[in-house]
Amino acid sequence: MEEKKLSLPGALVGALVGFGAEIAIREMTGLDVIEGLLEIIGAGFGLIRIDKRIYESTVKLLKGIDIQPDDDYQQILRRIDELTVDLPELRENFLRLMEAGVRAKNA
Amino acid sequence: MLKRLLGKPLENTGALPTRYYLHEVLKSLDQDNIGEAVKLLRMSKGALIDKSRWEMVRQQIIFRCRVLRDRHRKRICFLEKKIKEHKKHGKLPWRWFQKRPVEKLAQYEKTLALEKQAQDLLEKYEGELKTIVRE
Repeated sequence: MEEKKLSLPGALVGALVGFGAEIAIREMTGLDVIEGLLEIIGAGFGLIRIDKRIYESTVKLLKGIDIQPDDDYQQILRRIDELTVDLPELRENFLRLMEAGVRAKNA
Repeated sequence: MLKRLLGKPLENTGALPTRYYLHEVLKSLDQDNIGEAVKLLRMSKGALIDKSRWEMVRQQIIFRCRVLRDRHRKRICFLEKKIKEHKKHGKLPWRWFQKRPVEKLAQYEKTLALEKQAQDLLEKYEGELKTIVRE
């Protein structure tokens, strides 16, 4: 396989061209491209982080339900139904987690 | 770093992004600090992009309120049963020699009052959360 070489002058030229393009776009349209891109990337990472945190919290809540050791799957589902009467999105997430758990157990 | 520096001082202004508040709400929820979670959720306003996440966090708090309320309900039932038993059997002569039955009863009643207070508080928070509608 051909070895890839990184070129420092190439990177500098690329950065300069990008910077020039940014200035040109800003002058012509008034839009700040790099700042906008950075904001989008930042927001993307932020969303990934909050989604992960919400997922962790959902798992923790599911584990926190008081379940008797001899309760079966149907009883647990009934319990979830009781507690999530008017919380449809959360109920859906719980059911997905339960299904994933059952699938993992069967696999 | 900016969040760590400015987060706490600016928290009460409601000027921070929704995601900051959601992280803090989930942190409070982890510690079962429902009051703080409700307070922070009330402050979170922001981008439309976070609306579904905000709603999910709101539902999570309501759910936790219900789980905790159920626990308190069970404890209240247990304590009421114990108090009833205590009052019933406390009058029997063989109970007179037991150690401090009156103190034990008072302790049960004090705990019962606290449990009921906690249950009422959780009910209040749940009601508040149901009425919060995001702007």
